[in-house]
Order: sequence, then structure tokens, then C-alpha cells
Amino acid sequence: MSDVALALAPVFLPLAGAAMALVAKTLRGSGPAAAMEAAGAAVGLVLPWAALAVLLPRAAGGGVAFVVSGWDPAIGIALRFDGLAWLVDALGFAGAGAAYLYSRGAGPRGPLFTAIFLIQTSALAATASTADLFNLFVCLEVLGLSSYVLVASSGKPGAFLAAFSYLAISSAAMVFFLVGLFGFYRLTGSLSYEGISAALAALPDGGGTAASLSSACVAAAVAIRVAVMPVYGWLPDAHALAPHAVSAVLSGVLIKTPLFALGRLLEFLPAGPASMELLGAAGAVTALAAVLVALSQKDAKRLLAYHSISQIGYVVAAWGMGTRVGLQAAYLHALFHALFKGLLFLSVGTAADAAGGRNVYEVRGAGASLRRAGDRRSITVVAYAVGALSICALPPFNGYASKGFVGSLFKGEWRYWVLFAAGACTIASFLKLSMIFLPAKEAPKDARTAEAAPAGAEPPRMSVTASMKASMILLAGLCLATAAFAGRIMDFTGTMLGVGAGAPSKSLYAAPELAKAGFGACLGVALFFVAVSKPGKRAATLVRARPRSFAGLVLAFAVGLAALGARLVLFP
Amino acid sequence: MRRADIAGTLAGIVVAILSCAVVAPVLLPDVPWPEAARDLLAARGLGETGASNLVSAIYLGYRAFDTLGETIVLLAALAGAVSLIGAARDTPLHGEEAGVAADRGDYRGPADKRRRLHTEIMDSIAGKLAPIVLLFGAYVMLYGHSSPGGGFQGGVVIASGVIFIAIGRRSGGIGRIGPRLTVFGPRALSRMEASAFAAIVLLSFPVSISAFEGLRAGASAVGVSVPAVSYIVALNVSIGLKVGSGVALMCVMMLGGESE
Repeated sequence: MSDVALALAPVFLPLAGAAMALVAKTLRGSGPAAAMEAAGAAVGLVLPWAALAVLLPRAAGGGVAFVVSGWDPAIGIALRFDGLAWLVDALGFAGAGAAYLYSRGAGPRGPLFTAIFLIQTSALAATASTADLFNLFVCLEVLGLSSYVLVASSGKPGAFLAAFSYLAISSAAMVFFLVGLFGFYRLTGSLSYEGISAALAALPDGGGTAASLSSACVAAAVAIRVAVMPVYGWLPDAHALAPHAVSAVLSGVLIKTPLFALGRLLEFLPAGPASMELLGAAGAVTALAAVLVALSQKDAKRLLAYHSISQIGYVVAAWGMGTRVGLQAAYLHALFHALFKGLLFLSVGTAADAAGGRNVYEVRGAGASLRRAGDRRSITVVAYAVGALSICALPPFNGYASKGFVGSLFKGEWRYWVLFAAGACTIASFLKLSMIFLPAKEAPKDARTAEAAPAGAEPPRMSVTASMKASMILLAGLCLATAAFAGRIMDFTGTMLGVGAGAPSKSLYAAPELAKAGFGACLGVALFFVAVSKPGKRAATLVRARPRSFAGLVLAFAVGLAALGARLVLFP
Repeated sequence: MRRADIAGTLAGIVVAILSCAVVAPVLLPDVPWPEAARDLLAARGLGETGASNLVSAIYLGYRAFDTLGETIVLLAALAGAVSLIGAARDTPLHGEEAGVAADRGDYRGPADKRRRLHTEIMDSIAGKLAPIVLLFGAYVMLYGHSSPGGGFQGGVVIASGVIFIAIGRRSGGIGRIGPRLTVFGPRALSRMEASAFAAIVLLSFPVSISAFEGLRAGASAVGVSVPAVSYIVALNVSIGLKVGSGVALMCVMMLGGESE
């Protein structure tokens, strides 16, 4: 098979799997249908790894750039399968594979879910390698539409509304994307990144205001998908109300792929570095602001959702530097975050289902509930511990390596201290979330409730099945493996992204860094006690009660768009 | 006006002003229109793809990969709509007591409206129109490469033909197609949708395009000429069947015909 066909395999294999799942839906008899669906999932989620393995040498050696079906590059669709595309694909298939495995046990099940899930995976791969503006639009639409359907598939009260508000805001943003796309096409007559870049260079002032504002439209529309401040408002509901497996993919993979795709575009635009700088600064602010909101949450999954925003803030901050090292740090944190946040969503979701509630102030004894639900070896609790220690960036877990790497880029800047503070708050909020695993209090004093639900005798609400355990073990294993080989992975991503050596894999474990981590941890513990104290709880209630509305989200988008546009036009 | 309304109105005005300020310079630039891509398309578009209309040459030739994406967008949207219809059926209509619906025994969600819509005029006209609409849909789909139309448009027309059949063949109706015929039942429609989608994925893969070119070369070697446009026709037909069966499936479910 040619390189071009191979480079498209990560896109087409999941699509073929989706087609098989759709066929499975129409088969009579549950045996053949289940077999067909499983085969489709294998084709869509396992086979691409073979393609990626074969493609590895090519991707490391500069990649394959081609026009689909070999048409003239002036009209055809340019794609670029390089090191970045390979890495983002690997991230996508790892996150999606583990989440799909979990969904086999916990639901949602059914061929239609499988088909939409595989379509989303395929769109992730397509987004990672596109080098054509209209194709990027199509990829984002497919990504978006499949995730609205997946969010709604949980059927929880509120999930439909969350999916709808996600749909409405991203569709509105995509209108601006199209306007930006029109702007570039109107100026350059080209849709491929290289063509746009060449034609803009030929224009008298590089396209002037029109080109700058077109860049702003495109970047702001993608920023909605990435959920950076101030346009993050759709995410908490969508991620908190989606099925656990879908939450894991949405937060682990789906919010990052558009960011790397946007970076690919901005590399070619004159307004690119300035846009990235502004988004990067927004990212650093996001990292701290979102974690403060997270600290005040009482719903376990919503707390995790705010952490996704905070962690994507780290990624965007590093990405916003616009250098290859910045990209490497961003990818590394994106990858590690996909693993530990996927693990956290799955383990916390399982624990909350087993305990029958998600309120971190009320749920206690989740470990005992999990044991009743069939998790005798406490796999879920161990998985949660691995995920929490990783996200808290305690050495030697993988989060320490990637957050340390991101931080080392900003030595001596305000961003360094913002990210440091965000790290301390992360520790505090995970201590708070861990309270659900505290032993249950004494049986309630209220005689009536005690009679209705005698402690220890209630039947399990759900059962932790083998595939759920397997998925959590897989992700926990990957977290530990990436922690153990963090240095190797840094070197590998450096090679793939064309960065020379220079990643701080050794200096991360120097004494001053460790001391700083220890100081951050102490600060986090102190903050935790403040947060669970009476005044802390009152403050949390205030934060939770702040009005969140769809109109506010639209306003935030317009303000963000205008700010980006003003920055690009007034200070070129 | 309440205070929230005033705040909302003000916010709306701010949003409108800000977005207009950003969008207007993009939409009204003072540079000349670029011509390179236009001239290239005019010179080579028809010849290279074999289509006799440029729109088809673009969306099924040069940009077929995008079209694949748009087809998938439609597929996902339809899947979402179908699952919403399913969820809506399980939930009683707003303001209606669940108990009342259960008492009636045959409550089937919004589909209950059909009794009021079900008239003899509807039945006879829908049944008679259906074959004509289906024929027209097939024409639009098959001739998309040479006249305005194509898979997406043809598919929607075909879907309306199927809806006519679904309306016309209700029990007691005098539809042209007997009520026992299940060619256009939900199961058959979803089967058709799945296979048409598989065909589109297969056709769009670059290897099959070169395989098709190889086939053409082989055929012309033995004296059979396969026109270059047949690839576009095949893609148009698959898209048409996919869109037609998908939209029809959704509408048939909305009509409450999923139980057949």
C-alpha cells in the first residue's frame, strides 16, 4: 500500500468500523449482530495502531504531505501526516480505545453508539492531519456533531440541554469560522494552508485588516472547542452529564485535537504568532481560574470537568509560545492529561454510580460501595489514586514531568507563578474529591431513613464488570508506564516534532524543583482545609451560585473574538 | 421590563456591535477577487473529472473528501434525531399526565396526531404521487453530474417519495402500495442506509479511486469504454440512497411507523 493510502488509514479504518456497526444494527439475531459490531470496533480502534506502527518511520522522518486523490494542489485537499499528526493520532486512539472498552461494561451500548463513537474517532484522526481550511471546517463539524449525539446518549436529565447548548454555541462559532474562511478565500483564492500563506505574502500588506480579522474569526471559533477562558461555559455541563466513557474521551482527547490543528494553521499565517500569544496568556489565566471554580464544586464529575478546563489551560499556555519546544510541552501534557483524566472520569464515575450519588460533601464510603458492587480488589480506588496523584503532579507521577516541563518554559515570568498556584489548588481540590472514599459515617440517626436503608445490607446499585476494570487497569498502567519512561517519551516526542534535545528530563528531579513541589503540596493541603471550613464552604456556594447562562456564553464569545481581533489589528 | 430582560437586551446589542465590527472588514475587503483557482477550474474542471457541470466536478471530484465528511455530518445528525425521537416517545408530552397516556393504552407519543391528519384525500393523493416523486428523485440523483442536482438533493426527493408511501399506505388507506409490503419499512431503510454508507466510505478511499482508474484502463484495453464520469455517478447514487434512506427513516419514525 502506498504511503498516501497508509496515511489515510487512521481516518478510514474507524469509518469502515462505523459502517460495519451500522450494518450490525440491521442484522437479525443478536449473535451475528454482536459479532459484527465487535469486529467493527476492532477494525476502527485496533487496526489503526498497525497503520500507525508502519507509518512511524515516515512520520519521524518529516512526514507525508499530499493532496487527496492527487488533484492539483490549487484546488484539491492538502493533508499532512507528520510527526505531530502521528502523536495526536496516538493520543486519540489510546484515549478512545480505553474509553470504548469501559463503555462495553458501563454503557451506553448498542451498534448506533459504536458507530457514532467510531465516527468521532475518525474525525479526530482527520483533524490531526488536515492542512486545508475547508477540510478543517468539515472535520470540526463531524467532531462536534458526533459529540453532541454522544453527550445526549446518557439520557440523564439535563444531558439533552447540555448537548443542545454545546451544539448551539459551537454552531454559532462555526458561522464565524466560515466568515474567516471566506475572508481568506476572498483574499487568496486558496484553501490550503500553504496556498493561503503564499498568496498572503504576495498581497501588498499581507492582507491587512481583513486577513487579521479572518485569523481572529477562525482562532476564536476553534477556541470554543478547546474551552479556553472566556469561552469555556459549555464544557462543565456537557462533560459532567455525558456517559463516563464519553466524558473520558471528550476531556482527554476531544478538546485538544482542535488546538493542535489550529496550531498547524497559525504557523502559516502572519497573524499566527500574535494570536497564539494571546491565546496562550488566556490559557495561563484559565489554568488558575478554572481550578478555583473546580475547588468550589460539589458534584464530583463537574469538579473533574472544571479540572479539564484548568489542565487544558496548561496545554494552551505552552502551545501559545509558538515554538517547537512549547508544542512539545503542550503535547506531552495533553497526552498525560488524556491518560490520567480519562482514568479519573472512569474511576470517579464508577465510584459515584456504586455509591449512588455525586455530591462530594455527602458521599462517603465509596470504597465499600464499590466492593459491594463486585470490585473486590479495589481496582477502582487504586485507579483513582493513580489518577489523582498524577494530576496533582506529585513526583514521580507523569503529571509532575509534564507540568514541570510546561513550568520550566516560563521560568521567571508571571505565568510560572500562576501555574504554580493552579498546581496547589489542584492538590486541594483533589483532596476534597477524595473525601468520597473516606469511611462512611455512623448510620444516620434519623430512625426512618435508617429503617429504609439499613447500612451494609442494601443491594449494589450496579456491578463493576470485567471490561470496566480492564479499561481502568489499562489506563492506570499507561499512567505509570509514562511516568516511568517520561524521559524517553520526551526524547521521542522531541524527535517526532523536530525539537533537538533540551527537554528538561533530568533537571526536573533536581533538589530545588522537588522542594518547590513539596511546598506546593503543603500549600495545597492548607488550601484544602480552608476550602472545607465553614467560610470556605460559604465561598464555594457563592461561586457555584454565580449566574451561568447561554447568553453569557454568547457574550463571552463576542468579547473574546473582538479582543483577539483588536489585538491583531491594532498591534500587528 | 424586568432587569434580566434589560441586561439581556444590552448584552445582545453588545454582541451584535462587536461581531459586526469584526465581520464587516472581512466581508468587504477592497482587494481584487483572486482568479487563479477560478481559471484553473474553468480550464480543467470538466475534462479532469468527466462531469459536465462544474459543481459536481468540485464536490464529487476535487473535494470529494470534504463531501464524505458532510455525508457523515448528516449521518450523525440523523442518528441523533432518531435517538431523540426514541427518547421523546418514552417521555409523555408536556402538560400531559403520564397516567392518562397509560390509560389510553395505545399512546405512542407525538405520532398520535396521525389520527387527525389521516383523511381519505391525503391517502389517495399521497399514494398516487409517491411513484412520480420517487422517479423524479432517481432522475435528480442519477443526472447530478450533468444537470443541477445530485446525491444530496435527489436523496431528499426520494425521501419525500417514501414519506408519501408511508402516509398513503396506512391501514384503511387506499395507498398504491399494499400495507404488507415492507420494502420501505424502517428495517429495510436502515439496512439501505448502512450499505449505502459503506459504499460511500469504500468509494472515497484513495485506493479505490486508483483501482477504478485501473479498471477503466483495463476495460478500454479490451474495447469497452467506461466513461470517467461513472465514478461520480456511482458516488452520487450512493449518497442519494444514503441521504434518502436516512431522512426517510427519520420521517417514518416521526410518523410513528417504526413498529412495523
